[in-house]
Amino acid sequence: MLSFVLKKFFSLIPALIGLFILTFMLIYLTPGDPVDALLGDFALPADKEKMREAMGLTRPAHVQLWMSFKGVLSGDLGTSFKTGEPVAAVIGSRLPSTILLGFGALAFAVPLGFLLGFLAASHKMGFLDKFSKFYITAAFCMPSFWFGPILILVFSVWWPLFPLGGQDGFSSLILPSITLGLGMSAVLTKLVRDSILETGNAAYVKLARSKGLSEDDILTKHVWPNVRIPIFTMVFLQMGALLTGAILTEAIFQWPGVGSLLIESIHSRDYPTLQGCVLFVGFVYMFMNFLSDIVAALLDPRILKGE
Amino acid sequence: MRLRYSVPLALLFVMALFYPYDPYTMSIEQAYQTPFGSAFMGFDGLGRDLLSRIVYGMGTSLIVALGVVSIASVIGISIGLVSGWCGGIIDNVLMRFADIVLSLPGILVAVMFVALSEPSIFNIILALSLTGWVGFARLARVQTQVIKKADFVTASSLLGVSSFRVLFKHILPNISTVLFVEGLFTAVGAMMAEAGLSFLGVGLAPPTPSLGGLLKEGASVIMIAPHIVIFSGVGLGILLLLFSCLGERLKLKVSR
Repeated sequence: MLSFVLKKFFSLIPALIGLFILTFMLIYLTPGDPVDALLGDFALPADKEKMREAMGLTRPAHVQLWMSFKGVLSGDLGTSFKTGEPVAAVIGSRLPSTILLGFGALAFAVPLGFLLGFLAASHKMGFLDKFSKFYITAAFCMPSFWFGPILILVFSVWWPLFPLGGQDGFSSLILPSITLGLGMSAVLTKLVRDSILETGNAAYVKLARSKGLSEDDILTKHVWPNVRIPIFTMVFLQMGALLTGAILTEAIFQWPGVGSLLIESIHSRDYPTLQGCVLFVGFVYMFMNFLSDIVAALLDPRILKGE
Repeated sequence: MRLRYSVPLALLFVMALFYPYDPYTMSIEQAYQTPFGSAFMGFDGLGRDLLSRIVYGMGTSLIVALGVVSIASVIGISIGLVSGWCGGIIDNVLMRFADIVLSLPGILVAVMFVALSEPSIFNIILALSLTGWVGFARLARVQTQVIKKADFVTASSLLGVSSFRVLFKHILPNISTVLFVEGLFTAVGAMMAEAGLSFLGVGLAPPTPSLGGLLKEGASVIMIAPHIVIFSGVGLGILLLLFSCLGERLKLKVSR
């Protein structure tokens, strides 16, 4: 187990370094000087030069890359151009909102996905199965940036139950959570349905049934232990996807999280914040993928043997 | 079956060619005019005809999808073919690289890339191809590994046919259907991503019609002109549904 975890962990490192170099290169190669953005259009050339010197922008690219890399390793993501605060602190102050939104989405998607998937599998080809198929297709073809505004239109404008946007109490969490969780609930529904049906055809389930076990026992003792592996793996994988999806959802609902910080930093050309956000979101995304591998191995010892 | 899926697309082009309103002509006095009046879907904030903007926006989506699929498939399939054919250390290096790219969150890379370069159709296509090729590469690799063992491949190798010719004349035609299905799903992802980028305001700059841009505009004026969001979302939804249904159908056929 330990060697499996270590192996997966070490394969995480090149991806992280790749993401770091990519963000650094993109910002480095971008036309336009951060000093111009910082000091404004009317700054004196001498002042700009001094600033450039102070920020280390006159040093060669690989030195800057190394300095920035050392900074990231020690948890220093630089200083925001806009506010002068450390980027790590700004992200930290926005993080609770994003985590709250993520849990909101999970609270919507996981029970719904399980319920719908289970009902669809137990009524195969029945009405509920057809409904779940429709739900999956519909959810797949409705991007969050359409579904979200439609929810706002119906439940905030026409029928004012929830606020239009922003973070203000529990009622403001509902619509963003549904928007963010929609895709995940569809993925889960399909996965739960398909894996229950697939396992239901397995020889050991047929044997259990022919031995006269009750359907409940078959489900809890024979089907569930095998079904839960792909499902839990998928839940963790989807948690990474939720975080990148939150960028859009937060933009729709003006939710003050890391995603909207990222978009704000693009519009205000606040490159250290942008780089910090991309690195942070990318890191969490990859870490969730890593966790999903671990969870899968914990639940299914066969994965360890296969390695 | 093919007919059913191509009819809406053909209709789209006919509409784009013969529809009387231009998607760029503004008339401020008609701004936010509601649907079913003087124009079927009403007008946007600058008094441009919404239906023509949606149709042209769908065109933009299709161009982006075509561009991403072309670039990503050429890169991905080449890497996959080489990886699957050569095996060994080359395969190992290429696939580790593919794994790294796969673990990057694609939309994040695209947001970053487009935000820091000029927002043009070409840059968006490039940004989405940056991570989009991996799916093709992995699929082409696995398929090549399977076909490689077939007798006709061994026979042509024994006849002294060059690896290059075997790969492109014998293996590629045999795996092209599976890759085509992958292309359809990549197109769905690309259209969704392009609209998402434009919605975030880092995609195509106005006045280029883009469904994401329309949704962004519509979402900000949802109190006074909800028709913009509703209709442009339907436009995007139709495209996504079309491609994903076709993809699912073909996938079933291929796996049978």
